[in-house]
Amino acid sequence: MTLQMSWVTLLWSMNAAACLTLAVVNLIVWLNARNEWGHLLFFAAAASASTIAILELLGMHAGSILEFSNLLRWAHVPYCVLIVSIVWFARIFMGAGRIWLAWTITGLRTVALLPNFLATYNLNYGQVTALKHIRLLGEDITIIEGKLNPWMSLGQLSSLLLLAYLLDASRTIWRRGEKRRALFFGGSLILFTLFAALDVVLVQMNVLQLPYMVSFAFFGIIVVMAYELSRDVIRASRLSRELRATEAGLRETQQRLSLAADAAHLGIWVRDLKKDEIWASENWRDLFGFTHTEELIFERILERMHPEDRAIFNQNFTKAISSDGHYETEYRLILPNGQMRWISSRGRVETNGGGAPKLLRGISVDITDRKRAELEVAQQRNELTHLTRVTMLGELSGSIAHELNQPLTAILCNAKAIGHLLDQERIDLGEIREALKDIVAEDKRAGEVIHRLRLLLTKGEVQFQPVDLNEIVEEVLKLVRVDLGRHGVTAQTELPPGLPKIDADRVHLQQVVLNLVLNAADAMANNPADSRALIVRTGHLKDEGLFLSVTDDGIGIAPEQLEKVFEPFYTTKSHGMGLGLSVCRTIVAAHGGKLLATNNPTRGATFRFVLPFVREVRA
Amino acid sequence: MKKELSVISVVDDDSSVRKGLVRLLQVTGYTARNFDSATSFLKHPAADGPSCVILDVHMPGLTGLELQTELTRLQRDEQIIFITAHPAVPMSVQAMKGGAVDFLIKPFEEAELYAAIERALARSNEQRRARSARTAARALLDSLTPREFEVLQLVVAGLLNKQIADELHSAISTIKVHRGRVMEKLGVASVPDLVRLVETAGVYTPGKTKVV
Repeated sequence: MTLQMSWVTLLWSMNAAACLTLAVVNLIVWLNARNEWGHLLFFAAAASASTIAILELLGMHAGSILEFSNLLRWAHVPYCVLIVSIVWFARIFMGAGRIWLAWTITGLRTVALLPNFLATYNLNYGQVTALKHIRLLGEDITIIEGKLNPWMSLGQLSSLLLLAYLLDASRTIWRRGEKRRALFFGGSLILFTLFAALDVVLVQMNVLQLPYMVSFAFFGIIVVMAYELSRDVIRASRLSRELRATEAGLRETQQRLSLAADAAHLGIWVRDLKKDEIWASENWRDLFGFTHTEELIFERILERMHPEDRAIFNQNFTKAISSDGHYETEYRLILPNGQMRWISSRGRVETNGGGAPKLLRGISVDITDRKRAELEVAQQRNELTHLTRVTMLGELSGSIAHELNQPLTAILCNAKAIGHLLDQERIDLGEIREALKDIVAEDKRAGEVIHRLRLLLTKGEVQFQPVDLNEIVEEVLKLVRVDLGRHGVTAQTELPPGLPKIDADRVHLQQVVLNLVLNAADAMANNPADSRALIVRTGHLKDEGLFLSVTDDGIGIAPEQLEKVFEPFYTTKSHGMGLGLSVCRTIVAAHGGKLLATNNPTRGATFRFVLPFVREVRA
Repeated sequence: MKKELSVISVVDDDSSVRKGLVRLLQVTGYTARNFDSATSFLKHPAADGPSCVILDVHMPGLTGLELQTELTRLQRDEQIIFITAHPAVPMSVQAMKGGAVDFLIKPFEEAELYAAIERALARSNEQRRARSARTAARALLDSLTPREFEVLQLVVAGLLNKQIADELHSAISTIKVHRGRVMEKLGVASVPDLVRLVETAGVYTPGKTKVV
């Protein structure tokens, strides 16, 4: 050997070094990410390629046939590892190639090692005849000549199978749309494999008077594999960059959100149903009267809730899970210091794939002030409603007197009659009993009148209960019958039997009907005596609710006044405050409906409202 | 007045008031009938004897006041006592102007009721008597010949026989005969009696002679 620059040594060494470097890099990558099998396979392939290059270089400088032959024999080990690695790289990393072919190639290559090590020389040569010296790139190198080992066909078969396998794999990659990858990865690998196989055959058959240069083909393969892997690394790094940016954005959003939440006094909370853990913001803890460090347990939170509201809360929660997962609820809290606080809470239920609730998140906000104002308004509204009702009943005083005086008269007559009966010589007990029975009946009748009146006069809380709309109409008509009669007005009804009951405040609904009936009677005051009839109708609108309408035959309402009549203090009468219809509309609205006025096609006007079965109003 | 001979009709749409009132009246000895409406009362034949109607003002269909007008039109003898549980001044004025005996407000005092009933029956009785006298007087007047009737009219007008003879272009003696026959037929002995009879018959209106 001379100290003169040796190109052969340089080229093969650089090849080996490059492969080794790539191998080590990928080994380190794999050690850090053990499930990235592509990197391990690459490491194996590159390390093998490096070894092959070194063995080739050593072969070129072998001193004896035996030495050369042994080097060649040992080269089959990295060769085998390399082929197997390529096969499984394609299979695992590229996701292509037939599994049975992969196993066949792996098997064949491994089996080929047996004759390799059992033969006198190696897999390639049955007999080595001569060691030859040739010059390559201005350097003396050694090659050998000999008879081929028949077992070599095993190695060639495996090479052919590898080609087939790679072709098939490329086709798969192509078909799934990655055409560039199929061409580059598949094409290059096929080319280099072909090159390696040809090189071996030609050198062995002494067609080429050159050393083995398989390692360069393998280097090409390693570079292609490295490129494919690095694409992955590049993508990973881009993803991580994006992730960092997203995270930064997320943090920013979070900060903005919490700033907004704090400013709005919103309490934020998350309840993990699986782990049974609750996290809540500091604001939330302040709202619910928990310290900032206290552990949050659902039962303890529930305890803070007003006992009357717990059922509704649970109901809303259950409903949310079974429907779209959103829920909204209002409830009262009793804080440890006894203070009461109204909370509005809305949130979302997150479910796992199977639909079971997994996580709840939401916000809570203090609505005590709003509730207080609402209650005050409701109270004032109730007072006004009561006031208008009492005023209306004042107008009906004559009618009411009549309703009471009738039974009183009957009672008095019967009582006096009994007095006379008792004075007679032959006391007619039968008649006395009859008279007494009548007295009792009339007393009851008077009592009912008073009861009805007291209900209408009492200023009670609004109470929603199932009521019979037809019954309400009939009771009102009983009350106003005489008053209507005095004005020559007859009240007709169209009340279909069997209406379902509806949740409503009985007294308030009676007030509405009363008001509408009296208005209808007033509207017909100037009609001829024989055309003063009003009609009260009720009915069932499928699914929607029940309707009630009062139709008169009066002067009607000017079209531009149809909405105006509901405004407070609007009146066309000489009596009354002009609040009646306005209050009626409020009452109907509290029942989830709307009171509307329309003119009839012929004469007069109709007031109509619908009470929906499902009430969506906030008291 | 004999209670048994008089008839009281109670007309009220409220059955319990009607029933109680009728019971009271019957117990106290009156003959009482009840009707649930003015129309059904009108359909029933009028009572033979002094009678009165206790009438509710407010009734569906024909009201009490409308029945009152109708009874006047039919010249019925029933005297009306209005009752109401819902008094109103204009209504009571109209009722009293229409000739009602009383206007009672439910629930009324028993004594008040009886007083009204007695007054009503007395008035009814009087009216009945007047009418039967009128019927009798008219029957007598019907028996006169036209000539005798002419003489009667002039006698009642206060003319002397001579004047009547002049008026009718007849002899005094003839007039005397007619006059005697008139007095005989009508069963009166003096001119004042004659005048009273004519008045009862209601055929005489001073200043204008006319047969009603």
